[in-house]
Amino acid sequence: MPTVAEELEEVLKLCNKCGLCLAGCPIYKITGIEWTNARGRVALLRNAFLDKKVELSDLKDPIYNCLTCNGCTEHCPPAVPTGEIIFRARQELLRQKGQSWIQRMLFHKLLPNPEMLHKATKLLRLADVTGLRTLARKTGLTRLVGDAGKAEAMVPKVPASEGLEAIKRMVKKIDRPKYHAAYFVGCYAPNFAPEKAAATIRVLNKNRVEVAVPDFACCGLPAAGYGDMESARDLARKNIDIASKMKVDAIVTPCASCSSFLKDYAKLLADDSEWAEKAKGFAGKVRDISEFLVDIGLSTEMGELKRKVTFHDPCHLAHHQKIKDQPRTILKSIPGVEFVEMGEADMCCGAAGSYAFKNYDLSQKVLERKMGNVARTGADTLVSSCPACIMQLSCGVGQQKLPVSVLEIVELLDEAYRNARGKD
Amino acid sequence: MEDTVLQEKQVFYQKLGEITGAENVLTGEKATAPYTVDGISPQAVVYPASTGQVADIIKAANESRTILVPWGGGSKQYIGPCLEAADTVLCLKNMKRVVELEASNFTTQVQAGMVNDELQKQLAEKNLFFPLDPFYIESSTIGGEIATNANGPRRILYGAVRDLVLGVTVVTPTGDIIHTGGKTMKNVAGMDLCRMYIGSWGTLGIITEAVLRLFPLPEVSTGIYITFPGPEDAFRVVGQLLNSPLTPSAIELVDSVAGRNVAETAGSSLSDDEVFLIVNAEGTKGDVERHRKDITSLAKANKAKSIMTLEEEKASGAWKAYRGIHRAMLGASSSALQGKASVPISKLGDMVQRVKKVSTSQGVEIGVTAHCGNGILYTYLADEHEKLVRITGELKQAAASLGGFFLIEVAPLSVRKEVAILPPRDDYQIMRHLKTGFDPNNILNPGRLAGGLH
Repeated sequence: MPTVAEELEEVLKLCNKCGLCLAGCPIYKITGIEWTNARGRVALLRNAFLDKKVELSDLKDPIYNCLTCNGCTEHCPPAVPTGEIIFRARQELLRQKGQSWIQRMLFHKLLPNPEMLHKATKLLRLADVTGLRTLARKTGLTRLVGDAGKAEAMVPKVPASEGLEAIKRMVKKIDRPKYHAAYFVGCYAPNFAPEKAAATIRVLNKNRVEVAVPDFACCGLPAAGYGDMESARDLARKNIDIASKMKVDAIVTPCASCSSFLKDYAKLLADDSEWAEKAKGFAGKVRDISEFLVDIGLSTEMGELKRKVTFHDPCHLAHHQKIKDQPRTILKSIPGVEFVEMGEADMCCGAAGSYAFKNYDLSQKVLERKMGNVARTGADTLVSSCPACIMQLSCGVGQQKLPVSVLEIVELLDEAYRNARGKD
Repeated sequence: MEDTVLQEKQVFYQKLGEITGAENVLTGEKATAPYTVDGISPQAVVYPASTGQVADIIKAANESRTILVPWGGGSKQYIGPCLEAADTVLCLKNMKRVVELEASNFTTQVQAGMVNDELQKQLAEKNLFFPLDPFYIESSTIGGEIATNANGPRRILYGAVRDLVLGVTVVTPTGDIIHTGGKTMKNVAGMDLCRMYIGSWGTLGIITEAVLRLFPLPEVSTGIYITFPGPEDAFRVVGQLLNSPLTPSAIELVDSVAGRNVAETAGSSLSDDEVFLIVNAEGTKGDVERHRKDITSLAKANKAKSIMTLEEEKASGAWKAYRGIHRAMLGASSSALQGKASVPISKLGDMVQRVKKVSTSQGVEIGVTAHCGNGILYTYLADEHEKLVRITGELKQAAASLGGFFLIEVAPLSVRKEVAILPPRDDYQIMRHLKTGFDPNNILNPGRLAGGLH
């Protein structure tokens, strides 16, 4: 087995300190401090892994305050994969220091089991309906738990829902389907936004895609983000196993983070002889929803929507999957929509999974910059394609009191299709 | 003795906090290691917020003989003569404001820490732009670009830093604040100190503000990509183009070694001997169309293999890839060298041939790009120490024999320490006198002065 240093030597040495990465780093744009950009982080990790000048455990800040948005790599001529290096460093830190009980519970118990995860979010709903959450906010109880408490307002109200089971019931047979797709629902929709799942299914059906909703578990990205690759691999095996029992043309998801990580399964399990081939097959079928709809030829039987729309590129879509054109193609094809590009559309919004919960103040500053760019467009609708972005952007729009609605791209499409039906 | 020095340093770091606020001073390895230059790690990094604070820091540094390294975006910290020593990095990241924007005078006064690309975004809202476009435009600061005289492809139409910067506010190495030049076109009284600061590499003072010349945004900007079977065909076109009534804003040459990525981004490909030219035209739609038409016929008459006019978005993507060539060529190897030759404009084609000859005789792949309107050529190669030394020697001879010179920009530290980075000249002695006169305690960027070491 190669050591981490051996694994990373080549990529760490790729950085020649030109600093073009600075232009793509949302955190550096706020702090201006060298250790918060890719060039600085890579230099420090080189000191730790290759030159052994510093202990990895002294570098927790540079390792954890990175959004891993890959904005730097987009600007880097030799394409230093700083996000991947950071992931690897987190993995090594975890190996050295172990996992907190909360991470153990989350990655080992809740995320692998949609049913248990749903039960956990129900507790949050209980806090909502009983007024406990409001009480906690008012009494300042949330502030006691640091950044996570400050970020609590980002967590949307938990709707009354029956989780994945409810979404499964939304599925129906359609006439002469052209394609069959497995809908990778992810953790967000069943627990926080079942109506978005409904919109996804309707949009796919409208495009003659018959949808199946299997019992997929979490994609594994949250665990990987904390360096727990073993949990991520377990989740991957579980999902691959589920998909292997289905006959579908594609595995589709409207969550950019999920699609990005699912596509990485091949890499994740490359060294597992039993699973490597299956992982490749699985990853080859994964499609982001915009990518899929444009690939199969988007149905344009839409009604008019009078909206001025701008699009925020999720990092996991634009930087990790290089999908930038498809969402814009879709938005521009909706009759009545005036599409306006915002400045720095592909710059991270600061959500970055659970980043906002760990680094609330920085995350908020990144969000403020994003909101400035949104406001300058004069758009009344802000569209994206990632639940974490949607939560963060909604929070930003609320804080700044912008007259802007925040929608998933499938929701806007659904509205356009439903308007067409209205016309009939 | 050592104890006294240590105590003085501690007093200095404490003073930094008093001047800028403790939150604007970083110490400790985690914070300072990323500012390591030429193997020297600073002990502290300070982020002043005003010209006054910079002056106070410099005065305190003189008292304790602390060596300061000015820092903007850091994109050129690893280029040029080696730094001799460093104690505290003075980073201008908190000074990035537009102080004044007078659209009707076509001038703006900005703080030195303003990133060029960020300034362009603000100017574009007023339909203006600042034509300086060095390769690191997205991360380099205005102050850093002036201090390192960083130019780009558009120099051929709009001029160089010296033509675009009207005035600078500088804190001298002894802590005096001076304003040299101004916001009028005629503004030199006595010696032209403003221009002396252009390319002074932070050795004669720290630039804290600058007054820049602005231009209205062109209506259209178009990149024309032309592939030629070999460099001689391309240079024939360049010669005719320069001697025509056309006014392109850039004429860049890229060979097949350097141009792989750009060609891909532009949607084309290059085989071994082929080169391509990027000719940029900007102005009114009519102007640009005339350029496109004339340049196309010129290219066709000179064996052009393919001609492509890139739409705005693709053109900007290809420009970005072009700007990235420098670093992409160096990226994969820690034994990489980037050199820069300057020869008379008409000799640029000959210089390319000489480079290719060296490449063949030494058995090393050398990539080439060139600003054709200015006689500037870049070379990129990677090899072991001895060979790099030998090859740079040959390239220096080649450039000199054509009436120009060759200098090393990026190279492994061992090479930069052994080989003269800059060409021999007879005016370095005067520069040394200037440096000593300005900076008696040698506290600003020692070693960085042109000709200072060899």
